[in-house]
Amino acid sequence: MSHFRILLIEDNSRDVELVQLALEESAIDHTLNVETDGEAALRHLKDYSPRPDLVLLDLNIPKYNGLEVLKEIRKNPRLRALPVIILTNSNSQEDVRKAYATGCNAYIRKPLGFDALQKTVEVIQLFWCNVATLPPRPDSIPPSDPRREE
Amino acid sequence: MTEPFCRNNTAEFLCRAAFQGSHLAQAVLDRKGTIIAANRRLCLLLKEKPEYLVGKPLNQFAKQGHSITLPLREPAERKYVKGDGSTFHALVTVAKIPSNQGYYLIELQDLNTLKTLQNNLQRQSDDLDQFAYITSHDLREPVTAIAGFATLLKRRVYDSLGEEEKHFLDEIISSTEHMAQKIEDLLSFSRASRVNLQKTFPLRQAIEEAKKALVRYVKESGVVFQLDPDLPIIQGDRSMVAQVFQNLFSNSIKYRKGPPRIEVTAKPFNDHKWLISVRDNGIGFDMRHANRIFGVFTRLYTVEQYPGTGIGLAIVKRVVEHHGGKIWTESEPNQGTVFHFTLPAQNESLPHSPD
Repeated sequence: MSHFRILLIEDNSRDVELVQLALEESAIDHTLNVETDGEAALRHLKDYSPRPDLVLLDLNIPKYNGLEVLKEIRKNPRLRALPVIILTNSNSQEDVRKAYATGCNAYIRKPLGFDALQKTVEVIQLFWCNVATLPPRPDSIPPSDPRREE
Repeated sequence: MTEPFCRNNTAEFLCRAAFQGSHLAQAVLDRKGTIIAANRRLCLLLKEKPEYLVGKPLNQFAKQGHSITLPLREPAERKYVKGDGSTFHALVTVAKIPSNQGYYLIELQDLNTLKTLQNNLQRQSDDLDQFAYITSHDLREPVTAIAGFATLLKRRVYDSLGEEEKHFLDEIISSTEHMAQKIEDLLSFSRASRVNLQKTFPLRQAIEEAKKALVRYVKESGVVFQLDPDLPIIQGDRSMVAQVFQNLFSNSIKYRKGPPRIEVTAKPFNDHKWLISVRDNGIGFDMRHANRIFGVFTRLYTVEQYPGTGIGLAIVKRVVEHHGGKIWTESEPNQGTVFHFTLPAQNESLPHSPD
């Protein structure tokens, strides 16, 4: 997979712009969709097709917070296997613990400085889209397929 | 009076003024515990008139089971009943009046007021913690944005800038990084008050954890540790105490003078506590600055001399104090530094839980 479909769930427009620029500067072949609150993000994930390859999720967002969005994603059988990376300002142990308990694939603190941010998005893209072989997406599996049930 | 402290004819007047004017509730008791004299403050506290108190045993005003027996060697907590029927906690202190056979001076310290004040203070301190936590957290957001855009700007235009403009941009970036570091420090400082005192852990474990966190620094400096073979079990928060050692060790290494050596000892201390001492052979400091070193962002050296923001010892103090302990230091320029602090000994009533 070389084209990288990312859903960024982030309400801070400056952070959105920085992630956008970091992806552009890295020459990653990508589509970036942005949702700025939890409700819109969940609607996007349920209705929008094709679904993203990866979700970058801020914890502190309006309507539903990041953890609630993550919980919904993990509850939904069709979204369960979607890689979700928390990208947030918080490094409180409590947030980290809850995020992993709810089922995030990684927890990354928003890096300081553009160079660090660019490296971060590059590493995310490299791992999730180029190096790692992810299992087939549940939405491509027919509903009767027993593999759907983990 | 063997050593007169005033002219004879003023002594009685002064004694009366001191007794009546005192902010402590005081009474003079005879050897049977009967009130001979009660000061204004005691009357206010007990909500009784002096003529009612005098001639009655003090214990008459104590709640059932809260009497004192004279002489009382140690201050004791007792409950008393006021004239209006309400009760209060008091700390009772008894002193024998010298040269006056069998008379005692007693003091009642109203703990209810003290406890209310303490609770208010605690609440305010919690609010302040919360405030520090939220603001530093919220401040990080604009700071990451400034850092992000400033470094991006640097990447795009740096080469086309004149020397002075390059300098301006570099200053913006380094100041932003500095600010981000301070915000991190404030976050860890406010986190240092969230200690869990319900668990126990071997002190050695916290020390090893601290050494592990500093592993590169430890290797680089070749620091030699000398740990007391008998390190106790502590009642408290292991990771926070590990943070204490980490900050103290990293200071000892940073402010070294020749090959660094750190010695940790533990001794039983009063009040069910352990006295822990961390001694180094570093550059030390002048004891005139002893109080300053524990402040938030206070430093004894410039950043150029020794890097750092000056939060380390503030966190150390905070963690120790939130364990109900005290911390103090002994040092002398070029003679090394010792940090002494107390931590609660294992509470026997609670089961030992290693993590």
